[in-house]
Amino acid sequence: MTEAVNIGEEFRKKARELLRKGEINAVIGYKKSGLPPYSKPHIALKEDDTDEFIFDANCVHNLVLYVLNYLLEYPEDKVAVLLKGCDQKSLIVLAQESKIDRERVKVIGFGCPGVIDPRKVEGDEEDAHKSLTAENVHDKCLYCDVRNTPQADIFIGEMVDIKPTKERYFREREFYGKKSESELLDFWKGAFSSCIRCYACRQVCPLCYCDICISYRNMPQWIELSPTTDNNMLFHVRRAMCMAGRCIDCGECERVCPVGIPLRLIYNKVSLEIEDKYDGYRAGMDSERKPPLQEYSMADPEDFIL
Amino acid sequence: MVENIYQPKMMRVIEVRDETPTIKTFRLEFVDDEDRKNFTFKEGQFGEFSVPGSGEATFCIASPTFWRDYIEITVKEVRRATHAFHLLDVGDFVTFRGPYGNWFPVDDFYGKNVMVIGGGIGIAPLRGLIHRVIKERKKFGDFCIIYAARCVEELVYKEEVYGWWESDDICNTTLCVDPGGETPDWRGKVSFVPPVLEQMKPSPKNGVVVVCGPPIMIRLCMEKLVELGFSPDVLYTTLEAKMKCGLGKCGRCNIGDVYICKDGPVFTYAQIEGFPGEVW
Amino acid sequence: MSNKKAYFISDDKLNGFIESLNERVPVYVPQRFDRADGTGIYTEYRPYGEGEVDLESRTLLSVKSIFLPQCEVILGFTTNEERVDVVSEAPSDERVLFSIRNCDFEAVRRLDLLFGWDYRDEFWFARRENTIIVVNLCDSPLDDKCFCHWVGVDPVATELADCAMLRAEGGYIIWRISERGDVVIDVLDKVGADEVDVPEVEAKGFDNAIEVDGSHNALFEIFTDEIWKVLEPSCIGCGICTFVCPTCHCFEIQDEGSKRVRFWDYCTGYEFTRTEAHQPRPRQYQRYRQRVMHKYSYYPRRFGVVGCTGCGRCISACPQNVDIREDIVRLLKRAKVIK
Repeated sequence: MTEAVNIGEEFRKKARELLRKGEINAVIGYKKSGLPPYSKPHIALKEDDTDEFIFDANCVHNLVLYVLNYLLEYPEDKVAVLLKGCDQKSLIVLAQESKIDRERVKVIGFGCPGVIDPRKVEGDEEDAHKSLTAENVHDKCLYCDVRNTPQADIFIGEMVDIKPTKERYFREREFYGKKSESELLDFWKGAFSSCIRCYACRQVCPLCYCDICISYRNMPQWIELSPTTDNNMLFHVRRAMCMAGRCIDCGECERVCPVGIPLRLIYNKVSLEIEDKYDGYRAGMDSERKPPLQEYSMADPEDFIL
Repeated sequence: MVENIYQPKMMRVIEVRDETPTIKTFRLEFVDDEDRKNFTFKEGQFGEFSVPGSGEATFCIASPTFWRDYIEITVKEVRRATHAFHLLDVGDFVTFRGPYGNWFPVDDFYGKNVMVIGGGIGIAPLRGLIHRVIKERKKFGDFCIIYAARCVEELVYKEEVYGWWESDDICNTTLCVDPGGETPDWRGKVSFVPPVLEQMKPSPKNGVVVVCGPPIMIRLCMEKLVELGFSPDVLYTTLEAKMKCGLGKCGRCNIGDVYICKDGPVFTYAQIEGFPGEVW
Repeated sequence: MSNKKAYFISDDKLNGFIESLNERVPVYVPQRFDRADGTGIYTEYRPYGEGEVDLESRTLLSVKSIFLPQCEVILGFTTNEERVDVVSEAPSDERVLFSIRNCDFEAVRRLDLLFGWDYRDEFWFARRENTIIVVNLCDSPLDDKCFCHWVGVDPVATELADCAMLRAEGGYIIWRISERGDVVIDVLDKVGADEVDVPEVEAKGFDNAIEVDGSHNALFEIFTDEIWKVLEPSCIGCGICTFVCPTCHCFEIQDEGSKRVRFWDYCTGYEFTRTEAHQPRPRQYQRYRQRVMHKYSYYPRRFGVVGCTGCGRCISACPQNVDIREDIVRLLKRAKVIK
């Protein structure tokens, strides 16, 4: 537990200060939980609430979801939030899509050494979740190039200088490189047969914010709701298209899936396709560059349409 | 199978009437004679109807209990299930499960002054009751109907309603439309219902009121009536909520410890005040 | 007591025994399946033979999937020009449910009250009547997420089961409780399991209970309290807790093609009560409140039993670390039921 130890203390101080000054109405961060992954989102509305804030390698949740929900409920308020670099990218996408007023969010950034993927930890005991190791670190951290939260309004703690050790989307490149089309179809059919349509993947994603999801539109019922393999496949493929050019690989969808469907293999693959076809576009990296599927240019590739 | 409580009976459409641009009334008869002979229901009950393949929806039985050969339902087109209804022709099939729910305690209304207040399509669950009071007119005291809609076009059962309006000897009927909803030749009132009540000052003595319409209208009317001296336990309404099974199993109509499909949909205002919330 | 025979079946003979039993009557038993992302396993009740038998883990989905399948056809329509026929079939095969814990078994019995309320749901009861139950007694809690002792569940109850079993060193002891359990005992006899005495079972380690039973009216009184707005902001409104829960039973009915199907639904979602005209629970805290109140207040007020059996699955499965026990304690304190 390296530089991250100080982040919790610095954040508590900063949160208390911001609330006291009245600059913001709520601060969103993490607090301790008694169960794996031993942290959970926390919203402080009063100064004393800030005592519960922590930060450690277990703080894997994407807090932009809670920023979005809070601002949708209280559109006049301002909110401060402790954001890891990966999660911050979803804030950029939300701002690009005008779903969030970036002026109302104070991003508190820091240098993140990485987070533990709770699914990689053997056993439930707190000890097993205590330190970040090469075995339990989240895949996404191995190729992270936004360790020091970009576009932070306030930066706390020291910057970190940890270079990526793997190629971006290495897992997806390996997976799709090795399998034939029929093997892939078998794999996904197997994976989607265990989907229970809990929609946790959709609910936890800050970029899935449609008031009424396409799966609930019934004139006609585009996506049948009953959890059969075919219906499930359609839901997930449709969602992959929803996320094309928008997904920033926070990894939450895969983490929350109760039956362990490797969802990032889908969304990151689509991101690779977008990068390939739209001149290296990566979601959430550049506020100025418009998401390719939300704008039209004469230079758009057509080889996959015509 | 022993008895599948989700198994519907088949009905056939024998008449379709346009009420408004988005509302139609369907006259339905049972396909099976035995079903028709054995079927009874009480005012205020509802059923789960569907066009096979397009999903079930909840509709109140909008016809009087003493029409023996058929029932009527009034359907507003909103989404898939109701859209399928609006495509129906005479002779098409409809499934029906019911009657479910509780009913207006008409026996308790005998000898009382009855007031019925309807709003828009909310007149549908009240229609059976109105016909019943008219049929057994002597058993009740004064009878007063207030029917309001957004505009003249949105009045449902226009022929019947105008008929009641003309029959001062049977019932004292007030028709109103919202400000802006009147036509140049409109002879009814132009007002929301609470001001009409304020003006009318109905006497709470020996009175009973049944209200049905959009949730906001029910609430405002109830509040006004309480203000005018009515006791909440003589104010009745029929609540609408998303229902699916109608049998108390699927859970979606549950508010507080009440299931709208089992303990309702008819409730008194006194009962509603005891709900923890989430009604409107 | 003298006609009670118990048998000891050792771990290495267990699969052989279940297989023999399966030849007589289909057996449903918790088995392991690999998570598709390769990060471990989960267990589920499935027909024997689909995975490796695992009687000692908390299953992901509860035994509810045996009695109220996640997706079930309740009607079929066959249409031709003259008529629409409605076809339906109730499940009718007898089967053995091997190794169900008392939290799950009690949940099934608590749901009987709802599924038999006025209208008898024959899909549920056909399955209930066709299932021979072998209850696996917990003489100690599985882990720190078990809280069956908070909600009136006896982890070592046997009276209503057909057979009971208990973990012993190197295997299981299984004994007969009712006549229906005879088939299990017969097979144990035939595979040569050793006869032993029926064990004395005592539940130990179920400590620090908060008495939730009896607090349903107090909770009802604090429905409009401000505490709900700040109680559990982490809840994201997915369906995981509801789907893994053995007492959650709400479902949706939809027509798909020529079939009418019912499948699990969750009250924590926005769609549950939404209609075009009316959405009584637009905020997440209202939906979370509905789930907690339905289980701990409305269900006991209506049916006399708490709508939760403390199995701990929701705590184990929630991705955002919602622990319903924490929330219940805070609510009971607010309602002044506990200090």
